[in-house]
Amino acid sequence: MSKMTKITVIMLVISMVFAGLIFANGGSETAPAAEKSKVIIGMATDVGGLGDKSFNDGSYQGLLDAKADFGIDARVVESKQQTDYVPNLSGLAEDGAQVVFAVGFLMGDALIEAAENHPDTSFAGIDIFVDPSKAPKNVEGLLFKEQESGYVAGVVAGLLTKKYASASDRLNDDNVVGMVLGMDIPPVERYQAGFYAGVKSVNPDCKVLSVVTGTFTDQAKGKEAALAMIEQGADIIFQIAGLTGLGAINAANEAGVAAIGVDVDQSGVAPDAVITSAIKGITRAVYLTIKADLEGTFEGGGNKVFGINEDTTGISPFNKWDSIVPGDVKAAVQKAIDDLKSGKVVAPASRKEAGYEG
Amino acid sequence: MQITKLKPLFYTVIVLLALVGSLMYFASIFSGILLILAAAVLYFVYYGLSVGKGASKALALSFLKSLLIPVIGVASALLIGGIIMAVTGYDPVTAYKALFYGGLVKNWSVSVLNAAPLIFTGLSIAFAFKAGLFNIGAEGQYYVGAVVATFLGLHFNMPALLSIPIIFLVAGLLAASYNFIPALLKVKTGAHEVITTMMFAQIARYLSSIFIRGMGGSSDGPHPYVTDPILKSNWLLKMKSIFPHANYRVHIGILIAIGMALFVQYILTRTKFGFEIRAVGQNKDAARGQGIKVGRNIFIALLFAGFLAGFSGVNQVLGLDHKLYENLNAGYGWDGISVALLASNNPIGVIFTSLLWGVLAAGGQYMSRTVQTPNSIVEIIKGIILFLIVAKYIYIHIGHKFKNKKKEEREAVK
Repeated sequence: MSKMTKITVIMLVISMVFAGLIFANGGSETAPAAEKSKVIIGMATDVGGLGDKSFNDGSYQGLLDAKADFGIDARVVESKQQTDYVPNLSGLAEDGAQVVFAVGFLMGDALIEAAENHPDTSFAGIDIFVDPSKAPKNVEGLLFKEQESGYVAGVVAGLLTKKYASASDRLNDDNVVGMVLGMDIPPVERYQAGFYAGVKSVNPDCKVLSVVTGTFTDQAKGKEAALAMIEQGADIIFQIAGLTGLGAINAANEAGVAAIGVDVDQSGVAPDAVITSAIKGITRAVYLTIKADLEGTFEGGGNKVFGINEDTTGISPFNKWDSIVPGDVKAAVQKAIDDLKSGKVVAPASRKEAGYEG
Repeated sequence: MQITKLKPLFYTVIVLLALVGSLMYFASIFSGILLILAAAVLYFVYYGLSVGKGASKALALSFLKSLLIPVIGVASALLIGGIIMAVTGYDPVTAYKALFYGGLVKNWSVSVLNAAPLIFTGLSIAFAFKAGLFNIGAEGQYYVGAVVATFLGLHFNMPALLSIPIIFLVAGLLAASYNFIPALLKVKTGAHEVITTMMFAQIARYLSSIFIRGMGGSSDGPHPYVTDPILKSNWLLKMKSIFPHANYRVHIGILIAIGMALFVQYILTRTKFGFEIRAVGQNKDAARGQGIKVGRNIFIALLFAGFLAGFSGVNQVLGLDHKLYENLNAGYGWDGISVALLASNNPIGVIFTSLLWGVLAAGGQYMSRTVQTPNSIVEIIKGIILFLIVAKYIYIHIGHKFKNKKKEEREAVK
């Protein structure tokens, strides 16, 4: 190093340290003080972020509902990448949150790590399976029987694609339906298996296509996947792909075929194309978890499974399609729901159980 | 008295103070600053005594001048970001307080963790730039480093002092060899490294999935595909084991990164190889005229850039994650381009720009948690900083115009 660069280096170090010092002092005096009177409830989304009109938004709605009813201080933070998960979850706990929600299966490891290091905070993970034998006592997994929602949606698709294809000019006679998957993870597979079984239960000859896009955040890929299946004759596209799936719905809308949304009522994305949505009551599950914690009945160290008997799985109203969907289909849907509730029909939770090699 | 006779003593004390100080500082013990300050003061005293008043004054001035552009860039970016926040209905003052409090104090550990891998990729890109090459595929070399580190970390059962350096070295060498084909194509056929290394980055990213599935883990676990955790003996030392108060996640990777930056600076400024690299980067034809083997230097520079970027992956696996996730979209390779450009490809500068980037990311998270500003604000600020600093020639141009005008005026008065 020349003398000049050596000196520059030292100067840079000093300036950085000074900057640190200034901010350090300034910061500690002016740290945003948490509102002490209010309970803080925090939520960290996965990389899909808010605005996915799906499970991140659905979870956030539960937080907002709780805010309206209980007057909590609701805080949400979006994770930009997977390396943000632990800092975000830990950070919320360190900011004083009483309950911290991790939204999405991918945050599982991060949730456990944060919970282990912040034993005084309650943690809940949506779509995250918590191993009761290993998990700390302050973390709870909120799981859903997605296969039940998929099954009911499958009944709708199976009937409309062939038997009642004349109901709308968005439907054709090819007897093909398609699914656009995000990443191939258990909750997605449960939807897929349930949907397949639902379709086959009313329409055994139907061809059910699946494409795994490998991402929850790429609308272009979702669109591409949907268009490929539409070319093969698919007239109903069921999306199970978060933000990626919005592209699939838009593709179906533009190509003049129909779509089925996922997680929350997605008819707002394309009212003419979306027949219904296979929903899971994330919003309600979040709300109930917050309520339980405020009442002191939060139970960690295991999982809570929400299903059709808790009114947390099923399909959304037909909305714009209400006048198009024939009464027979609606009756079949009601029968499917009743059968699931009574246990007469058990929707398969995996491709293997469903006998689906798609 | 002959002050220069005391030089070794002064230097030892200064280096020691600075070393311990920064170690403490990076471990979130902010009083470490005092030691660094003491080192700085000592250096000033020594320097002032040895060269006299005039020279030290001139030095301080030239230093302030060199800081001008970065400071203007950051300040105006913050100003523009503040205006955007005010317009969109967020209070810029509270938001900025949260940004800097979060990034520099509360979540300083996260800033440090963010910065360490960026220093390696930033160095990789800066070094390639010095040779006139754009190693845009640092992301790919990152994956190679991470995969190799995971594999060795799983199987290499030896004392840490032996295994960790070997893992770094082997992973670095393999990451370097990943640039072999792009380097060969560049030298032999002139195929542009921007295209070749970028495509190789995609290949590495998606190939890593195969290796990850081959290294344990199951699809039933809490994460879709992830390798088994590496052996504990291969973990990098945690700062916590040196300072009990340090955050549990921070490891010594940042110190390795800084050491590497000093090493790269040394190579570039003090060795024949570094001189040749810079000569090739500035003017190939002139370098050739001087008898420098241009092709050979380009080849080695790209390989060394890969070596540096590979360290980034090793750092993350051995230091932080201790396993490798599929589809981990960290983007350190891409952000490395930003920090290298911001630092004008100066290896020492890369340390500071990486820290700045880390602070903005960690502070941005804190800001969005506490003030509920959207993430995009931080991205906007980062974008503006990058633009304003990289576009420094605008200032130089304006500065020259201003000077000329004044000159003309003065002459007119005469």
